[in-house]
Amino acid sequence: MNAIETINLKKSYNGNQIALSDTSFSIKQGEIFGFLGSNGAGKTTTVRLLNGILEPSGGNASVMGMDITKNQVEIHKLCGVMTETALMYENLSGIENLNFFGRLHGMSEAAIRERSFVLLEYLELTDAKNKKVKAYSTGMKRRLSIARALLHSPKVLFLDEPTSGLDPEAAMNVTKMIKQLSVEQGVTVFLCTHQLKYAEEICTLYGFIHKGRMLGMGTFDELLKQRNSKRYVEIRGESLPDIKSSELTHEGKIRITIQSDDDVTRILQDILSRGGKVYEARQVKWNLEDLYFSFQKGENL
Amino acid sequence: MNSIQRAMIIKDIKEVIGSKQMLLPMIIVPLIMMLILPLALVIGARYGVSGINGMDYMVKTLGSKFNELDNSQLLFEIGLNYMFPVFFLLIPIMASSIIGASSFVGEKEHKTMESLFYTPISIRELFVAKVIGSAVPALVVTLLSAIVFGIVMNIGGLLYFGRLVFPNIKWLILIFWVSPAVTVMAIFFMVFVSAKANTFQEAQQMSAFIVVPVILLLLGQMGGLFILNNLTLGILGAVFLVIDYILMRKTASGFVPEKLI
Ligand SMILES: Nc1ncnc2c1ncn2[C@@H]1O[C@H](COP(=O)(O)OP(=O)(O)OP(=O)(O)O)[C@@H](O)[C@H]1O
Ligand SMILES: [Mg+2]
Repeated sequence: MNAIETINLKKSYNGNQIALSDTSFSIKQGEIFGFLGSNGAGKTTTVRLLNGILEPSGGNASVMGMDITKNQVEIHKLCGVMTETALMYENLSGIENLNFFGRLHGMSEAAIRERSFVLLEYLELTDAKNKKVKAYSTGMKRRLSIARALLHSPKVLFLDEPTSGLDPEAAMNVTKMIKQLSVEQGVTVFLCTHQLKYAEEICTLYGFIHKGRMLGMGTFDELLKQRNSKRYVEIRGESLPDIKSSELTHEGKIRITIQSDDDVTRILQDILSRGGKVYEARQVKWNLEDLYFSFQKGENL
Repeated sequence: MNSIQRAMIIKDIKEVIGSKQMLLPMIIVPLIMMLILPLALVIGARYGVSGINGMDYMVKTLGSKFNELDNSQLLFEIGLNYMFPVFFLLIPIMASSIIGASSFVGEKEHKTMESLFYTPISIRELFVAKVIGSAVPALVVTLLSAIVFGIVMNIGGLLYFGRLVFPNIKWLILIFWVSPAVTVMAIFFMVFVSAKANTFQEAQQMSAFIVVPVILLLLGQMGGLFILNNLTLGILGAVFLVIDYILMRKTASGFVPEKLI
C-alpha cells in the first residue's frame, strides 16, 4: 500500500506565486523518503499540505489512504510531524509538554509516562525533563520536538530538517532511531532536508524539488539511470593538459565524466602523450550531491 | 466537551497562572478599580461631593432624582451605581483580551499553534476549547472583583445608609448579563485579531478598540450625557450578545490553520 500519494497537488499562498506546482508522486509504506531541495523549494509547504493544515490550490493527496482535505483528524492520529515552525511551549517543562501533547493524542496517562520515559532516555533528555523548555539549548528543543512527533507511535513520520542544530553524536542517534523505526516497525518517513550527505546515509527513496517543481523522484539507482548512470574518473597529477569537459574538484583533482572503462584508458593515454604526469586515477560513481546538481542544472537549461 | 478539549483548557489556564506578564495586570487592575478606588469612595464620601471634581454634571443630572439623600449618601450612590459599573466593565474586557491574546495570538507568535494543528483535535474543537479556556479565567477574575467590591460597598452601605446595598438588581445585571457578554466579545475580537496580528503586543494594542468605547461610556456618564440604568444595561448586554453572535459566525469561519501559522 502507498503510505503517501499525491495527484497534481498544487499550492499557491497568494494566488499568483506558486509554492508547489502540480506534483504527483507516491511513497510505499516503510520507505525513508528524502525530500531534497534548496531554501524555499516547497518542502515545508508539502508537509503542511499532506497533513491537511493547508488547503491545496489544486489536485489532491492521501496519507495512508485518507484524503488530506477531508480526514485531517484521522491523519493526525497516524502521523507524527516535526517541523521548524511547530514548536513546544517554552513556559512548560519538557515532560509537561509531552504530557499535554500525549493528552491531545488521546493517550492514557500510563501510556504517556511509558512512552516519554523511553523517548526522553533515547534522546538524552531525561536529566532536563523537568526544566522549562525556554532553558533548553537549540539542540535540546529540537530533540524534544522529535520526541513529541514520536510520542503516539505514528505510522508516518514527517521530519523537516530533523538534524539541523544537532551535534554529530545526537544526529547519529536520531538517524539510528529513524532507520530502526522504518526497518522494525515499517514506519514511513518523509524527511525534508538540504543536507545531502545526511540524506544519502539514511534514505531509501529520493525526491528532488526546486522552486515548487519536482525534478526527479526514485531510488538512487533509478535516478542514476535517468541521468544515464554516469561515472567519473578523478585524476591527480601535474601539468595536466586541457581536457574537454573536465572540471576541477575542490581537492585540486580534475574530474571527467565517462561512459565506460575504455574511456579511462583513452583519457590517461591522452594525458600522458601530451606530457602530463598522473599520480592517481580512480573511478567514482556519482553520489547524491552529483545527482542533485545534475537534476538542478537540467532544470536551469 | 471531550477530554482532549479539557486538556487544552487546563493547559491554557496553567499558562495564564504561570506568566507574570498576564497575571500581574489581572491582579493589579482589579485591585485598584474594585478595592482601592471603592475604599477611597467609602472614606471620601464623608467629605461630600465637593471632594471629587469632574462629577458636577452627573450630580446635577441625578440630583433631582435623589432629593432625599444627604451629600455623602448622594456621592456614595453615584459611585456605587454610576461610576463603578463602568470601571467594572473594564475588568472582563481587560482580562479576556489579555488571556485571549495569549491563547490565540501568543500561540501563533511562539509557533506552538502549528504543533496543535498536527494533533487529532479538529479545528472546531480547538476553537471552542480556546474560547472556553479564555472565558473561564476572565470570568473568575471578574467574579472575584465583584465580590471584593461588594464587601467594600456593603461596609459603605452600613456606614451611610445603615443597611447592605450590594448586590442590587443593577449589579446583578452587570455581573451575570453584561460582563459574560462583553467577555465573550473581547475573546472573539482577539480571535479575529489573531488572523491579523503576529505578536501578543500587537494584539494587546488592537484591544484598545474595545476599551475606547467603554471609556467614552464613562466620560459620557460623567458629563451627564446619558445615564446607565437597569434598562439601558439590559439593552447593552443584549447588544453585546448580538455582536457576539455575529463575531462568532465571522471568526469561527475565519479560524483556519492557514491564517494562524
Ligand atoms: N505562509 C506563507 N505565506 C506565503 N508564502 C509562503 C508561506 N510559506 C511559504 N511560502 C512561500 O512558499 C515557498 C515555499 O516555501 P517552503 O517553506 O515550503 O520552502 P522550504 O522548502 O521548506 O524551504 P526551507 O528549506 O527554507 O525550509 C517559498 O517561496 C515561500 O516564500
Ligand atoms: Mg522548510
